[in-house]
Amino acid sequence: MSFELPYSIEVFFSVAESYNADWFPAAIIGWLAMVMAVALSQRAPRITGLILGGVWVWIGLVHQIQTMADFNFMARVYGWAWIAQGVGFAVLGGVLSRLSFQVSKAAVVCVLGGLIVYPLSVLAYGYSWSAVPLAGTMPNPTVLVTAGLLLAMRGPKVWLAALCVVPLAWGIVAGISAYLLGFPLDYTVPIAMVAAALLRAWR
Amino acid sequence: MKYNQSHFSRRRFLAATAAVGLTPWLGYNAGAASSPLLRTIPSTGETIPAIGMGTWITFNVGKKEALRYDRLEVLKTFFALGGGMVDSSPMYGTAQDVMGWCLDRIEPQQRVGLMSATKIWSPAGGSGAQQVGDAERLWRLPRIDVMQIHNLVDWQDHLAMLLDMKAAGRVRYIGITTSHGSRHQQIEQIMASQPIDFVQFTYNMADRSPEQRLLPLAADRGIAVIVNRPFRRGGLIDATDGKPLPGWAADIGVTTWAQALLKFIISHPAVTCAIPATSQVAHMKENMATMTGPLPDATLRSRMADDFAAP
Repeated sequence: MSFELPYSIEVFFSVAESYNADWFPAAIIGWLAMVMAVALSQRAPRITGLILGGVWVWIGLVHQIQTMADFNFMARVYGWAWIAQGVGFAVLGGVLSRLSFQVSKAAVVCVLGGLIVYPLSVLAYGYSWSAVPLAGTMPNPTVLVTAGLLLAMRGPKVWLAALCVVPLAWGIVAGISAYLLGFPLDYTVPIAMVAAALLRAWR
Repeated sequence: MKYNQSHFSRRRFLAATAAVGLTPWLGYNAGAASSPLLRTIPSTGETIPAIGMGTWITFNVGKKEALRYDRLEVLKTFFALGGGMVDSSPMYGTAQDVMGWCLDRIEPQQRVGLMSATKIWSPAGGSGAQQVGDAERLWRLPRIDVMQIHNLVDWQDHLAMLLDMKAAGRVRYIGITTSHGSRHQQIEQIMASQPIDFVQFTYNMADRSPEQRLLPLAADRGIAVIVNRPFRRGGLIDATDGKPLPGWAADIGVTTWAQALLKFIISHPAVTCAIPATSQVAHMKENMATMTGPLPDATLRSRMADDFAAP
């Protein structure tokens, strides 16, 4: 039995372009929100938790369930996982205030990778700026930034481990998709998440 | 039951190809003026062209009109070159909706050979009957010709419902499907015991296990066979990269390994229709040309498979 995705890379970026246009200026707001989440992580970790939660819920609801589910029957399942993860970030970080952040070099690499390097790399592949997936509204760059924030995160160990589960699972999905769609850039997602999970466990 | 059969004559084929300026492309085939290869559906005697069309991935393009118009050209080419069976599924995302959109833009007289085939797939939601209605709405057709049960999911329930629908004239044919070589034992049991018109599974030069039991059983039971994944999603064509075509290729009128792969499938006497999927007009032309020219006999088929497997 082999895995296959029901759409091509051409269709993926076509959908990304429509999604960015349909929800304009959500992509810009989402990206700025992610910048703010990172910038405030040490001074106002509750805000970071709420922003991260909101972004994950948005992607689960709007990108996965409302957009991608038309193309991929698995997107509905993914969507609920993203929503659950978002609720986890919002409750633990925003409501219960159980999370704090401590910057490390590895965390910075992941964050900059998701915010800046990933979208620029998509442009370098030759795709239009209007189709570029941005952190805050699209899954893969968001998981890259999240990997950085998870690396920087401090809090109860069990909860931190639990918060790694869905991003790690998404890393596997992204890695398989990268292979099936022939889009090597997305291998960065599983690499970042596995590295983040291992570094967390090592600590 | 009386069916409105869609026989595809040689005259119609040549008229259609001439109308779209494709006759020169056909080369030696047109010179020979041979009809596309037709195969009989055992349960009714109706004939359909041996090359059909799948929609997995290729027609799941959403609402973007540029992509839809590209697929429209592929579908127009398919019909112009004598195509008939088009297969889809609710599992294929927006493919059924895109297919309906395309069919809406092709004059009915230019798609008279259409044999619509889709599936019931429980995970898509709704009852089997609702999915039949959804398919009719999405395809913009009053009736789906071939309704199949996708991957055997809940097949007992769906088969009972489809038998009722067939008796009532709501669908013309019913069938079951699998792919990737899975569930062959279960498929065999259903073929042996249930009154189905079609069975669909994977068969190609690299996946020849159906030759052992499924294909002989289909011939024995009078079940039409639809073959999916003839190229393993292009993997088999990639495997022939740089490999020269053996001398037998000219004898059966094929000019590429892709054509040889298709001809191998449709030359099996129990195969009714192969359904390669493509989003390229050039590839559609290449596929459809396989329906003309001589067919390999059993000895040559065996040699073809050996040559394909050789390093």
